[in-house]
Amino acid sequence: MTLNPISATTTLLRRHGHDAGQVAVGIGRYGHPAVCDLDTLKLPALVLGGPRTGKTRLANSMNAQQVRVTGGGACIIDFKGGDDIPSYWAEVAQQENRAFHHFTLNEKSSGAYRRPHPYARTQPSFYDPLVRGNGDSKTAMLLNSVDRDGDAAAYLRTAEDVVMLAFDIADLTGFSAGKGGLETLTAILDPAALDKAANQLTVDAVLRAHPSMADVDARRRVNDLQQRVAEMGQKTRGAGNLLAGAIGDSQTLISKFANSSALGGRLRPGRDATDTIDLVRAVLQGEIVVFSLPSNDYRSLSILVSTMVLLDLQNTTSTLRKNIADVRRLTGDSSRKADATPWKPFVVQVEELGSAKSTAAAAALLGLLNKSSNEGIRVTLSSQGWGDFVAVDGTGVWANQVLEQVYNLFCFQLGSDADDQAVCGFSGQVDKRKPRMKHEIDIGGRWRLWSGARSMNSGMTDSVRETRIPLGTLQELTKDDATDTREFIWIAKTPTLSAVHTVDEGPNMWFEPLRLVTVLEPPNRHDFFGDPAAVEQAEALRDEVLDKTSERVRSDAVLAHVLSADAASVEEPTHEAASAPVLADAEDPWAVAAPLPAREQLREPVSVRPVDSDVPLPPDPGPDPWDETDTEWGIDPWDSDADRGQAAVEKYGS
Amino acid sequence: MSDEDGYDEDPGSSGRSNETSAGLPIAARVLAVLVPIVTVPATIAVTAVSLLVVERRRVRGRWWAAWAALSFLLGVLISGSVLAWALQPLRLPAWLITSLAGASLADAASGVDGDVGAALRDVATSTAGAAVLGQLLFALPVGFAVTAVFTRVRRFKREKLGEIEGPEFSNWRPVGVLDRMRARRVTEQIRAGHHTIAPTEATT
Repeated sequence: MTLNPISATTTLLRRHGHDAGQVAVGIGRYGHPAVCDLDTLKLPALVLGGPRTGKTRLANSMNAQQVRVTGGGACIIDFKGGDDIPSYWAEVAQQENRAFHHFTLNEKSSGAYRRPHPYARTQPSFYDPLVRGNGDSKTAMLLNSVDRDGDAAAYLRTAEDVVMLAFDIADLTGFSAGKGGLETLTAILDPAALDKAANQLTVDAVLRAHPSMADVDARRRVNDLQQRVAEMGQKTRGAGNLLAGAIGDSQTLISKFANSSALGGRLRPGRDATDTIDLVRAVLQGEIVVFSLPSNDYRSLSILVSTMVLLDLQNTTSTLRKNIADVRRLTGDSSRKADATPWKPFVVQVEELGSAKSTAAAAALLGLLNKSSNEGIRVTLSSQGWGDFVAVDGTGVWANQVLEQVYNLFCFQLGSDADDQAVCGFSGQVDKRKPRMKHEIDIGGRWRLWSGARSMNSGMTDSVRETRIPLGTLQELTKDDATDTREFIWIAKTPTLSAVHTVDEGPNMWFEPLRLVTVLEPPNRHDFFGDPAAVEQAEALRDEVLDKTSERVRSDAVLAHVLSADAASVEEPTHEAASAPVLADAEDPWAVAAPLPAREQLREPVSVRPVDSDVPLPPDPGPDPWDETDTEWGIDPWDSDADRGQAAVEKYGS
Repeated sequence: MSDEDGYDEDPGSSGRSNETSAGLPIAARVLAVLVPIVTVPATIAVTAVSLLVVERRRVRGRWWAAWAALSFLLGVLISGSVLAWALQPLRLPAWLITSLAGASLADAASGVDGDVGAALRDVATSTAGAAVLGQLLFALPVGFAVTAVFTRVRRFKREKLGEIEGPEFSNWRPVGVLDRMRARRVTEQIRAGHHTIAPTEATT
C-alpha cells in the first residue's frame, strides 16, 4: 500500500458545500459512506469494543483525519504501550510536516529506547507538567494526581498549604527560574530551605510579580509569607505532627516522579523546544504528542503521569481561554462562528482508559471533558467496555457523568451483556410495532411472493416503547479478522439522537451496523525502517521540522505572547525557561536523563547549588509500590553512562 | 371482487367462474390467451420478471416509473413516432403470418393512406430482427409501467407490513450485487481520503 497524503486538489474540490468539513468512518448497509461532520466532533466521543475489534483503528483514523484537514495537533495518551500507536502518529506527523514528540516509560526489560518510527527522535521527549501556572494550580496538579483515601486524605489539606507556599516563594524569589516544577519542589520543599528562601523575599520581587499591587499590600504579602514559613518551621519540630507528615507525604510523591527508573528522569524540561513537550505550544503549533504509559507494566505510575497530563490539559485550556482575545487580535482572526477558536482544533485521544482505574484520573478527565470543547480541544476516549467506567468509582456515578458529556458513541462488538445494556440504553427509546401471534400475515409462501399484511381492526400488533437498539445487538456485531470486517454502531446525539447514518430511520431500521474503513492507514505490521532511503528522508525532515518549531518558539508573536503571559506569575517566560535552563548540567540533579552530560556531571552532589545548599534531599523512596516486580529496578539505561552510550547508538537511527 | 384493491382477489371464486363460463365460448377464451402471447410475449415476460423483482428485491415504484419513461422515450426515438412505437408489437405477428403462412400483408395494408398506412406497410414488411426489436421497444416501457402501477397499488399493504418489527416483515431491500460493487468502490475511496473534506474556514 502506498501512503499518500490527501491531495490538496481532492480536498479543495470537495470543499464547496461542506462548510464544516467531514471525516469518514466507514460504509453503511448499502455501501454508502458514513461520514461525520467535523463540527459534531467538537464534543467528546467514546469508542467501546472488545479486544482487537478495531476501536483504536477507528479512533486513530478519525482523529488523524481531523489533524490532516484542520491543521491542528493531537495528544494521545496510550495506556496500552507498544509501538503501534506512536508509529501510526509519527507517520501522520511526517506526512503532515508536524513536530512529533514521544514520551514513554522505560521498558521493564531495561532495554534501550527503540524509537517507533524513523520520524521520531532517537530519545524520548521530556515533559514537565508543572512548567506553567501559579502556585495554586501547580499544587492542585501535583497533589490531585494521586488517589487519596483513608488516613492519606488527612494530609491533603496540609500538603496543599505547604506545597502552595513552596511554589509561591520559589516563584517570587526566582528560585524556580529555569527549573522544572518537580525539580523546584525537590529543592525547596523542606522547612529549613523554605525559611531560607523566604528570608530572601523582597517587596520589589512581589511587585515585579504583581505590578498592580500596592506597596503596602506587597509588604504585607512578604510579611505573611515569612511569618507562615516561620510558623511552619516551629510546627514541624514536634514528632509525629500533621505538617511534618504532609511534607513527608508530598516529598514521597515528588520522589516517585523524580527518581523513578521507569520515568528515567524525563519528567522535567529538556534542553529546548525540540526535545520538550509543552501542551500549550502543541495546541498553538499543531504538534503531535504521544504519551505511551503501559499500565500493564507500571499501573500506578502510568496513572500518576496520565493524571498529570490530564490536569495539564486542563491548565492548557485555562491558558488558552485566558488568551483567546489576544490571540484573535494577534492573528487577525475575525471568525464569528460559534465555538470558533483562533487556533486549530486539538485532538486528545485516550486509549484503553479502562486500564487506568483511578479516581484522581477520573476527576481530571471529567474536568477536561467539561471545559475543553470551547477551547477547541476535542476528546476521544476508548475502552474495552462500559464496565471499566463503572468500576472507576464503583457506583457508576462517574460513568454516568462521562456519558452525559459524550455526544458520539462508537461501539464495536461487546463481550458482556451488562455493557450491551448500557449502550443500548444510551441509544434512547422509540415506539416499535410488534406482531402478535394471532396476527394475520401472508408471508408469500416459499418464495415470499406477494407477501402482505392484512390491516385489521382487531389490533393484531402492539406498539411497544423499547430501546432504539435492541438488547443483544452489540454482542452480535461482526468481527472477522480474515476479511478485516469490523462492524460498529455509531450513536450520535447531534443533530438529534440517532443510530442510522446512510439510510432513513424507521421501523426495522432503527440502527445501522457500519463497517469500519480507515483512512490512509499503514499496512498491518508495516516496517517503517525497511527502506534506508526512507529512514534517512524521515530523519532529515524530522530535524528540519523540529528546528522550525524551535525557531517559531523564539520568533512567533502568538507563541511568545501566550507562553510568556502564562508564565507571568513566575516572572520568567516559560518558553525561555524551557529553551535555556539556567542551571548547568553539572549542577542539575535532574540531568541524569539529559542526552549529553558527562559522567562527572551526573554524579555531582546537590550541595553545589548555591541557593539550596542546606536543603536535604527527599527521603529515599525505596522500591516504588506501583511496580510489581524488582526486575525493572535494575540498571536504568538512562541512569548509567555505559548504557547511555548504548542508548545513543539507537537501534535504527542516526 | 373480494377486496377493495383487488390484491387478494381469488381467481377461483364462484362469481367470476360462472360469468366466464356463461359469457364466452371456448374459442374466445383460447383467443384471449393466445393473442397476447403472440402479439406481446416480451411485454408479458418483462412484466412478470419485474414483478418478481419487486417482490424479491423490494425495488421501489419510482424506479420502475423512471425506467418506463426512459425506455418509452428511447422506443419513440428509435421508432420515429408514437404511432410507430404503438404498432411495434404487430411486427411479430406480421412476420409470423408473412413468413409462416405466406400471406402478403403489404397488399392488405396498401389500402390505408396517410401516416397510419405508411406505418402499417412498414410493419407488414418486417424482418425477424425487426420483430424482436419491436417487441423489446414496446415491452420495456409497458412492462415497467405496469410494474410501477402494481407497486403503487401494493404500497399500502407493503407499508403496513414494514411497520411490523422483524426481518421477515421488513421492507428494506436486501443487499445486492450493485450494493456490493458500490461498497468496494466507496471503501477504496474512503481509504484514499476522498471522503475526508477540509472545512471551508481556516478554523472551525
